[in-house]
Amino acid sequence: MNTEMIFRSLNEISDEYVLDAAPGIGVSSARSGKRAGSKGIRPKTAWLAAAAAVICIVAVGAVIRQHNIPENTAVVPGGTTPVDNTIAEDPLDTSLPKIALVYAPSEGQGFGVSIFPKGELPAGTMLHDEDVPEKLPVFRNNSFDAAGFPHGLSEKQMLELFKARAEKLGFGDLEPERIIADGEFGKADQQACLVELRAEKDNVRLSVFANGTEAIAADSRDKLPEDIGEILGFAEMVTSNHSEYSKTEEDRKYRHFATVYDMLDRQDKLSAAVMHVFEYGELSGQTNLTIFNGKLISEKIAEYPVISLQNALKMLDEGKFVQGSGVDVFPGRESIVASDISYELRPTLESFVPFYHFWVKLPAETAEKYGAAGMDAYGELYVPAIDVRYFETSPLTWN
Amino acid sequence: MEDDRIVELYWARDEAALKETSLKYGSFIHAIAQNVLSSAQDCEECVNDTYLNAWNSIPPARPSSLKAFLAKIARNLALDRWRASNAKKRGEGNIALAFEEMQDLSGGSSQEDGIIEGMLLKEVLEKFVDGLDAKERRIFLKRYWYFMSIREIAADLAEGESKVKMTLLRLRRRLKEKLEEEGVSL
Repeated sequence: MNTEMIFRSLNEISDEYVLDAAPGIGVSSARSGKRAGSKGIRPKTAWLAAAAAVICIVAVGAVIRQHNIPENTAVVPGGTTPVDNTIAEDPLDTSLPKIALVYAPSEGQGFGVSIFPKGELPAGTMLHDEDVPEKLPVFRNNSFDAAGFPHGLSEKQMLELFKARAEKLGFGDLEPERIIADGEFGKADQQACLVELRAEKDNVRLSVFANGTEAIAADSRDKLPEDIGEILGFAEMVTSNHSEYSKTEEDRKYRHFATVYDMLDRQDKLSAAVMHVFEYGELSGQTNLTIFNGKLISEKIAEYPVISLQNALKMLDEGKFVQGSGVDVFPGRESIVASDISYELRPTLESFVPFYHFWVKLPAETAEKYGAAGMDAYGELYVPAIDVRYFETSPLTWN
Repeated sequence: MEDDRIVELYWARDEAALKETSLKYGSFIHAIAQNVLSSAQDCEECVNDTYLNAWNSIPPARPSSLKAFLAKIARNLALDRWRASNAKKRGEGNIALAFEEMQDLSGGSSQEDGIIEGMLLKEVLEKFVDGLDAKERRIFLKRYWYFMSIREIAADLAEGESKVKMTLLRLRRRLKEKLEEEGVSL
């Protein structure tokens, strides 16, 4: 058998698969149906497939503690003073290096709204001018090598992380499987390296990756997400109903799942976690938890001046923001119900950069549209907290 | 124009079928050819050959999906042309990298290894692709069916390049295991 035979033989696969993978077709759960008669993913093992993908879920760790405000009170930043829409540009500090940041939205994070029971928005706090520091650090993410393999932690560090989590999960002395990347990448000079430690017990799978990411996958029917949160000692767990949909024109099907935010101590900079509990679809019944320990694999580039809150709000007014969830148009300052400054933490980003993070309340019909009438729907918008002129490519083009 | 209508034009031997095909799927076919062939001229000829092949195949064929039908023709023709031009020198571009990545899965044996093995291989590949989840399948086929670059796949799927690479690495491992398990000689 030679390689060409493999490629030739692939030509015979189902038309449906050929069309589904055609260039320009994005990730869309709606068009992923298997052809008639093909074997579906078994529920008990489906999460195992998902666990491999969970590594790239966006996690956001807040670094600025805000003033508490009364629950669900809509404080309008800027108050009643007339809005000055001029964005003052400070002179650039030319000694600071340009920030490299190539952005590729992660599945499920770019499109969707978060729906909470009324008055239970988790980040019900509002940022004020005096909360904003003059400077914040930007970090270089060292979690992937040039060939794309996760790296950054030594084997000893990986084992320490693994043992700490394994102990909490009741794995006992279970020895992890060592996953080695050994040159199958087609690069002859690629050296073998340890990329993952993995173990599974009682339908719970734990992976610790060399880039400081931990992934836990469990069958929700065996272990409740709340149990996992408690086992791992998360201080705060708030559940929302998060809706996701395909952005293709021909279909807009929804997948609902609960998302638990703010499970790690928000003061623990550059560490964050996201838990998804899939409620229907192919992944139904799975709990996927990703913990990203960004601090372990990053290094500070420099401290950069932070733009003022007022300038960030003006950028929102002008539509200069990165959308975190299904909000193409800023609904207006009166829609802001919470704000903070957060780092976007994702293993595949080149740099970890702080953003102003605004929760905006969406019109009442939004929740209804997502099948959650009577609840509150929120979207998230991000404005770079660092002057965009410091970036090699402006994050504002991400939209 | 709807695909059904275009196929009707082919059946009516109306040359407008070619024009409509070109209008609707020209860039799609071109993209497939371009991923395999580095020469612009080869690419253009491959696209034209695809139209001619479609004209000669419909009728008697009445494809349920004209787009997939054209894609398969274009891919086969591009591979033929690539093999002819590659006989003398090592290939370039996406396909050369895709070949390199797949080297671990294949031995050096010739294509004359036998029809039976070829049939078995098709069956195993079909089962393998069937067993992938939707996202894995897209990534796998974008790379090894359409020969798209890692960067293009990442952009297309709004994923990081590293994630795409890692997924492909795992899929190749799984395919290798599957081939060994099913007794396909490597």
